[in-house]
Amino acid sequence: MLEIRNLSVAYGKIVAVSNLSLTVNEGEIVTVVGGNGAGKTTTLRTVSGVLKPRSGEILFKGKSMVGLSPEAIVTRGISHSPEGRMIFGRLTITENLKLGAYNRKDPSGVKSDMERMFGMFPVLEQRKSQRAGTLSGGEQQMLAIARSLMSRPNLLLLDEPSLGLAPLLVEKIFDVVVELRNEGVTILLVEQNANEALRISDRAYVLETGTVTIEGPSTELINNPMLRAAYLGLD
Amino acid sequence: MTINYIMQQLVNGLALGSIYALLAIGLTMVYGILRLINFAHGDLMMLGAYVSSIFISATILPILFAVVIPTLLMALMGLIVERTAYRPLRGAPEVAMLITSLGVSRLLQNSTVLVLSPQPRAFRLPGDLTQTMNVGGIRFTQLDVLTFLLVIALMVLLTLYINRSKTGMAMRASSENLRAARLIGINVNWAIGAAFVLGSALAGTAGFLWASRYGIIDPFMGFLPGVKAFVAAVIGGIGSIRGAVAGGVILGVAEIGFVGFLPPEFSGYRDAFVFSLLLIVLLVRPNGLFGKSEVERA
Amino acid sequence: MKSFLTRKNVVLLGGIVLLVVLLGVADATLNNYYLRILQLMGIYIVLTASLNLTNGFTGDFSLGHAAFMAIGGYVSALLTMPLAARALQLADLPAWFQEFAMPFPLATVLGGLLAALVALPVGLVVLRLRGHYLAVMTLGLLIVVKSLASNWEPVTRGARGLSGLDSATTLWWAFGWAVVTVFVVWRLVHSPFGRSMIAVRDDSVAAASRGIYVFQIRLIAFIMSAFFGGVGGALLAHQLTAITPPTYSFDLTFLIVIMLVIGGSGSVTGSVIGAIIMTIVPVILRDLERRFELPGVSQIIIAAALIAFMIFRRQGLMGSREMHPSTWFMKKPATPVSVDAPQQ
Repeated sequence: MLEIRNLSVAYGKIVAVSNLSLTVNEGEIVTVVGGNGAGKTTTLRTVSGVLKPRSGEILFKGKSMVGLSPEAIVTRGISHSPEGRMIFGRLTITENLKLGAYNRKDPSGVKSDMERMFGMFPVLEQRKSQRAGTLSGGEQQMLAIARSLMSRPNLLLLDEPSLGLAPLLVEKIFDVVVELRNEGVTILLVEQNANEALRISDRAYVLETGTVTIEGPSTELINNPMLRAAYLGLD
Repeated sequence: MTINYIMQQLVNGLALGSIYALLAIGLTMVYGILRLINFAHGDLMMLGAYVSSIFISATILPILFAVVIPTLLMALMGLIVERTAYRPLRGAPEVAMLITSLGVSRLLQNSTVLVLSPQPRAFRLPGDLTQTMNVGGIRFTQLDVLTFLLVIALMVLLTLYINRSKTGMAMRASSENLRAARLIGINVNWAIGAAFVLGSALAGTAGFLWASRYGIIDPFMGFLPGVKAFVAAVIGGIGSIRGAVAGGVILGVAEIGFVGFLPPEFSGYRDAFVFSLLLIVLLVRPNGLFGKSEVERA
Repeated sequence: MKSFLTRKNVVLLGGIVLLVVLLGVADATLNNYYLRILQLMGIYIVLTASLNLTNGFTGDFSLGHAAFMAIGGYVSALLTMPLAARALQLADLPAWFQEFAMPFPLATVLGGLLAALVALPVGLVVLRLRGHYLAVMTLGLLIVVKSLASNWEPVTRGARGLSGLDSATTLWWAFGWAVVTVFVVWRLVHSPFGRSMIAVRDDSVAAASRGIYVFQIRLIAFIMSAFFGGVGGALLAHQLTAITPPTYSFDLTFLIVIMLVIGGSGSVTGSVIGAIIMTIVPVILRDLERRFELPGVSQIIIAAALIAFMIFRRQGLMGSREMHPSTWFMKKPATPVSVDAPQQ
């Protein structure tokens, strides 16, 4: 579904991603793990069209996404739930969700999707006309995910959804991710919490200094001794 | 000093403050999203005043045209300026945008000099509007009343639009976090364009009001009011429309009060007073009187 | 001991000799009109190179340079004014003031010092702000100083201004100060202090965490910039031989900012190049403007060029590179890391 070929991205003269290749097949959960500055977030932001690649190709459903505006990319079915959540704290929860559906032209569909989100995250419904800034960290993360689902994506880019959350909430978020996959959304997941992420994903990539160093089925990676030491905090 | 004199100063201050408020709304919307001090904003008011003057001299046309046409034309002008000068600078450092806006300001002023003339010209309203009425010893004109009503009406409409419409929602989201807005697929260029169109339209209206109030227009009349309106927006709390209106009114009343209540030899320092006020606000209450959390990202 | 005759010093010395010869020839051959343009060029180099300290190197974008120029201009004018003119224009001032006239060079320095002295308290306050707010507040400083010049009748004579000054700003003074300013600024930015300035500009939080006294650095740069601004103002006053409040207008601040931006804020030689270009171009444009009777056209072209620069060559002609003759014959110098914003 998503194919990244030889992607390089730079900020001025600082190269953040170099020659990275990565594939996500329909219906998969694919995890990207790696330390700080490995280029994970940069890769996602480039797929979303916020950053322009220096070179390389990004194909989605066989069509090139490079050079398209972020809104065009959302319209084509890729949605991004950013690192740090980035919800609009001064807007209400309902408004945040509506903005997730900004490019959709079917008001009735938007309405029913909103109900669906409220069903999935009941806490959001209880507080739907409150400002999003009043939500707790975990609730904000749910709102961020719900907002990104409001565009009815085929592919969801999830950047560090468990960051800064209590273990119980982390569990809940990962449950949601699995549930979404079961509903047919393909997911590209970036996580520092590699252990959990590998457990629910089908395949995984390890990034170091902007390029892929290890890739394979998650079950294999979870037992990779190098990885266990470096990212899983085991042994 | 009588109570009438005080009331009189208040009326004058409110009238001036309403115009600052109109200008400040546009500045605060643009600054909220782009972190751009649009130094050319006051010059759109100047252009609005010139457009308005065309319809004033043709007395057959109702005064409505002198208000509506500059408002619409400046909306268009704001969009053109945004597209040609500011949009190519998306993602550029703040200072680059600031310098560009100074350039745009110069361009508009001197284009007016070239096309028309550097000489000031008179701007005379038909008699009815400027006739003074006397209510309980306080003198004001129909124009003063019109100014208040217009400013209040425009404010209500604008607030409704920003709070209720989809574009308004996108504008608020972009103002809070432009990156996030882009990332989730909001067409931020549309939101920015809307901020420019709405703000510039109000500057066009302000052009009519300013010119009618002072009776004279020239190509350089807009710059200082524009900067002062930015001061007003900062005093009220930049990024907030309510703050812009409150800041405008406060500044107008304070400025008139400074001239009206201090000995005449101080009146030459009124502009200096405005900036002292800004400095105090910035140091004591950096987010302005109605400011929300984050103001400065520098 | 290292020989004084390094390649760098030879080139520097050669450059100064060349400049002296050129100025001598110009002084002897050119008519008054062209001499005045050249004098202005020297003054503008002083102003642009000094504004570069704040706007280019510490990243504090000031719009108040003309305020410091006004202080230097008025102070020096008061000090040098011939006694006859003084009795006529400033009769209200005390008797001791009526009895001395200070030599121009000393008055220039004092004008600069007073501008620097004013910059100290002003800087302590306004440098607590950054970015846009600093720009607006320094613009406010200019407006305050202008209000003072327009209203402090006994000293500044308000709108009538001060006139009858000696025409003391020769080509030699203008370029002498230009060389001094450029030399001082160059030495400053190529010292550890200069590296701190750039660190402050690029990331003040990181600089502070590395033990750099961020505020002090910005304040010193602001004060030094004000000193040379005052000197430039004094030179301008004694070139025009008369000053009024509009002499030190926002237009002047803006012109200096344009020079800096076009030359490349962040480059000392860039600021010199910007000043030279933007002295000559407006003269040519104004000439055309008069010939074809198109008022405002020169300003329109300059403003449009500025916008185009911001869109297509934001870093100016030189960016943060330097043009240094002594390196022309050497191997390629290391290019400093540019300050491009990340692509968004």
